[in-house]
Amino acid sequence: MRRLLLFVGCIAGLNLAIVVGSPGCGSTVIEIKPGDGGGGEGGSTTTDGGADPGDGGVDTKDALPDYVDPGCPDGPPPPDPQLECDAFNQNNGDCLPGDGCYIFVQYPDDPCEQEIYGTYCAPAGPQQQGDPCGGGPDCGAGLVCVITGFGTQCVQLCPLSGNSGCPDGLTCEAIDVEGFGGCF
Amino acid sequence: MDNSSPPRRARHRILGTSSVLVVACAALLASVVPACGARTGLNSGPPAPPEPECYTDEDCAGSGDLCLPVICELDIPPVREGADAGGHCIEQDPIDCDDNDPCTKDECDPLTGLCNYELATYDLDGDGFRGPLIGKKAGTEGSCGDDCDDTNAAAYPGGTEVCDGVDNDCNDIVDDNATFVPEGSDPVRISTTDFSYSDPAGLAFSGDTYVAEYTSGQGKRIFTTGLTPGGDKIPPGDKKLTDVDADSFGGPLVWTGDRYGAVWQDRRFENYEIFFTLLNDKGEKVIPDVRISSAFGFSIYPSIGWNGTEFVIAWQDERDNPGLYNVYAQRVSLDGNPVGDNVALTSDIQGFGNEAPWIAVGETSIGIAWGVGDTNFRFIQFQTFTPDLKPLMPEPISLTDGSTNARGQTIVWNQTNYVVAWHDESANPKAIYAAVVTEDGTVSVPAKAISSPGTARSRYPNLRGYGNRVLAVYQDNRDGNQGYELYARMVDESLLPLTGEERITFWPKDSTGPIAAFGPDGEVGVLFQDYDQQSLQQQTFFTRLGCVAGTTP
Repeated sequence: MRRLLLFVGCIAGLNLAIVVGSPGCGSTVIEIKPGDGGGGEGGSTTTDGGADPGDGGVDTKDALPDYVDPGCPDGPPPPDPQLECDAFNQNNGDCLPGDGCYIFVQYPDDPCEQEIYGTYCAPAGPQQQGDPCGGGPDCGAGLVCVITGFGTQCVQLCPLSGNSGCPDGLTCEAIDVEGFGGCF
Repeated sequence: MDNSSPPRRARHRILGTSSVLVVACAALLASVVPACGARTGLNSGPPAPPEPECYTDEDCAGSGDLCLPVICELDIPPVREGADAGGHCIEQDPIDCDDNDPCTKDECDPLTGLCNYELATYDLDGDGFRGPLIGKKAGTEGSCGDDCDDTNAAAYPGGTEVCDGVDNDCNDIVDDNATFVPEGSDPVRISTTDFSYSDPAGLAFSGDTYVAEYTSGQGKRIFTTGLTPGGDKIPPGDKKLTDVDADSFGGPLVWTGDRYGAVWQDRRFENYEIFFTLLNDKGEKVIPDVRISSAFGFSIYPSIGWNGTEFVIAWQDERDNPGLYNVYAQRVSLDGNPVGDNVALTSDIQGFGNEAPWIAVGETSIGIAWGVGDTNFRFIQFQTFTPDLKPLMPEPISLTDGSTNARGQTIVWNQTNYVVAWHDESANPKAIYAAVVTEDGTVSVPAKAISSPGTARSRYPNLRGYGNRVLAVYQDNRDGNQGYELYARMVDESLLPLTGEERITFWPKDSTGPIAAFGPDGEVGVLFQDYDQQSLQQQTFFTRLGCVAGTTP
């Protein structure tokens, strides 16, 4: 099952940026370079024995090595969300008439930094539940544009705990914007 | 040998001569006599002969690779007199290591020039039987191995079939004629208590224990944990698969016989990219993260298979056209080294992208199912590829007609055919559908509903293949238990029901996203998301289906 649902339309439009950067944080990552077949270390390929097929011999592999991921250093707690309006309560006066309250995410430059989430007001788009979209403002108020693995589409925002308020037959599933789910 | 031939190899002898030459020049340069090629102010006497190309083999470009030998042949007659003699570099025939045995990997060691003849197949499960070469059926001529399942030591030619989820006797049927029922015990919560939300990502079984992979905190962290057959965590329990703070979402796991391959996506490099690593049988990471994709746009929704020699990873990739996706794939060696580069398996179809590929490894092919279309009308596509990712079928085939909202595709190899399943959001009924396709792309059983939700919905199937039947596990909301519950049904090779639809979960609210894996004693482990009755959160759980032995047909 595929339920990895990715928000489209971060505020800076960075989701389509060309990737540039280094692993940072001292983390190790092996990258493919075209033509060189990439890298890799650890894990043995050494065969020991080389029994003939079906001869009853055992071709054992060397024990896999231990590996400790260097990971990210302890850092500050994630920043507080930047909330201009309440995305779960579209008509509370936070935004101007005709505007909707949309969620956004700002992606960090470094693997060891964390995203910044928030909400902002923008003119409400025309697309509704299940309609195709290319970014957040395409969707109507209270909806979010999501890459679903079955078309990029608008889905209704929902809380991941409590009553989801999703249409019958749909479930509230996590998207990659903390604190928000979408009806799928 | 032709006596007029020049000396073939003179490495040591010429090296000595060269040393003498250097000393001699140095001595002469100290005198007034111009020598050693130095120019005089007078244009008198014959011109100095050209510098030799080499004095020793080591002077020749590429001389370090003894598999592609190059030697310094002395000039005869010498261009220069005496100690100043040199020669020309001559490339020799490459060392030919081909022993005409398809069962060996014939490689020349560049450092020694000697041939290695390592066996080309593995016995990864240690049962004394080797798996076949890629693209060969075990036990057939030229396969170089007769183990039909080299990921499990309980499967080998001549084994005795028991109820264990394994084709013990290699007759292409798993647990001949057994059926599966819920074990009855409560599901076990797997996800850590540190996060308020969790999704299942992958489940696989080593023959002794399971490893479960799940994502917590809406992409905050991916964890793996070893599980006993009953679902208890094996110390040290939950381990971070990635240790970056960027959003990370887990993907499927595959067991090779002595290690797991794990694949996921994260956005440590701003865009989502695909990563891979190896885990030991306890689910502990043993190599650094291997970056699989590195291109413009998102690379997401990875799937992984193991073909007995290599991992194959497929995913949807945005690199060719912003907002539109194609399916890309990458081969990865047993050690986690990428083999070749990313390979595009699809191209855009009239403005529609190719999304959410799933891989299954067949007898001689790799089968991939994916979706194409807009948000309401979608095709389920299928195509087979060679182990080196070349199309076996000239074009993909569509398993649906595009008039409905078919999605949630999955695929399994069922010993002789591929079975592709999906759910349909707009067909009548809104059921689980499946089709059977041969390796050459022939649809042997067209799409048909394999669940019966009535006016309700079945969604997100996961399949296990038994050779002569298929187990489908899926979610369905027919019971009105405040959402979806998990169900399981066995169907035969023609996709006709062999059992009723067994309800697996019973707690109120949604039970969703099942991932099934063969476990011990014929059990099937199921990882899924459920509404935790204590924390009142959506978390990842594990449950089991028990095997009821049948009789061999």
